[in-house]
Amino acid sequence: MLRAYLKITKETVDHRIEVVADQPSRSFLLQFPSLMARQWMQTTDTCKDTAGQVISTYSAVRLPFHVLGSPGYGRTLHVTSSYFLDMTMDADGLGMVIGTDPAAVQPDQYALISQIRSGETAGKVMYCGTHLYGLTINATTDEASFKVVGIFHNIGGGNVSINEVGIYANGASPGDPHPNEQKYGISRDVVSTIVLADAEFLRVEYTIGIAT
Amino acid sequence: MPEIEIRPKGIRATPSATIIRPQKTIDLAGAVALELLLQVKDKDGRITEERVEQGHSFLANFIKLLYCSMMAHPAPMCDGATLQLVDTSGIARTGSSYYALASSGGLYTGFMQANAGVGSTSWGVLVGTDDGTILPKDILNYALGDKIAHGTGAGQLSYGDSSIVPITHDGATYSYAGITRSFSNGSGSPINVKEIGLATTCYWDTSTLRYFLLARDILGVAVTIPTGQALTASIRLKCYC
Repeated sequence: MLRAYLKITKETVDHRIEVVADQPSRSFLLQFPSLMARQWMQTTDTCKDTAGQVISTYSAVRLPFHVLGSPGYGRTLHVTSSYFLDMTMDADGLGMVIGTDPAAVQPDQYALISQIRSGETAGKVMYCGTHLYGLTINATTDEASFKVVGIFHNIGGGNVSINEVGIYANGASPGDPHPNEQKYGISRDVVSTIVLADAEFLRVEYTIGIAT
Repeated sequence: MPEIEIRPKGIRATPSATIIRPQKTIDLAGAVALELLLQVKDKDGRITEERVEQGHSFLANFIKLLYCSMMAHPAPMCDGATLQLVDTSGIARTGSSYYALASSGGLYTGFMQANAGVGSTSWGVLVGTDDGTILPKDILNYALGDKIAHGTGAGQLSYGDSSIVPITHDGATYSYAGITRSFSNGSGSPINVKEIGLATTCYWDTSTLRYFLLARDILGVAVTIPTGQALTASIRLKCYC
């Protein structure tokens, strides 16, 4: 069984670290099993992207759960090989995302309900990127896990309230050898309201793990 | 304990009482669980047995591949350690970005591919007869304990094609999708299936296809496939809100 655990901390302007959410995730959305099943079957099917568009996903989805996000205003990822992959992504369209809507999670949701966009103006928060680390296999306890972390910085000049977090993963629609990149919401969690004041940092951490 | 003598056949029965304890309740909220739908069908396609079992069986290979995919890199460094998968023959294979990311068939195009065709027992949905005696369940399992061979000889099953379990949800609490495969018994004798696994194939370390077991479940009670009948085994990836 696979589960995720959500821990959110913020760094205040005087550099104190506060835990503002610490709870089991309840939130894998139907895009997750859908993308996985078509990977297993290598079949083309439809799935809603984060914009709610029904996409004919490509059977040979390239790295379908790719979530490495976009520091600042965009990012280019180069994988060094003779078939290198060159992707330019939106600042806030991939990886860890945050939003303002507290409505309950439903399995057929495809995105946050009200995403906070990346930016430096009021109501926005700078998306500082998403990274993965800490893959651990524990054969004694039959558990394994890794962490997905997103960092956000409020430099908009005022408070921002956060009530939802999630993960957008990369997928593709037909267009081989360079399929069109699509983003799919694979998880969404609702949290008690977090007020992120101006100049504060937010760190959202999912620990994704399995146990037999 | 008192005995009851039943006459006139002289059969004796011993009354007994058993305390039936409710099954341990598992809180599935938030979980992504493997769910096994097992159907035995006769030659006319009628279901003679059907059951749903909760799987508990993702293996280390699965979490490593998911990590690779999210990382968008096949050979991520985990605190300096090179990532290895153990193939179904038990050999640890170190990922190579050149092969695993090659668009000719590595993770680009075959990530977690499991749609094995007729007769293939190297990957896809696999079945076996081990109840954990030969190979206890372990997160490091890389193969079934006693995989059933393809064929119509004694103890063999005919491995069928694979198909997708389309995405399904109830709008409130769950969604799932998965993969299905059938196994026909033409051996002449019943066969008991006690373990089910899912194996993928991909290029990982070289230009040779490797096979990696992603999940393995030992059934609570064996499924018996009478001769002339078939087992349809569906592995659903089920998300609970």
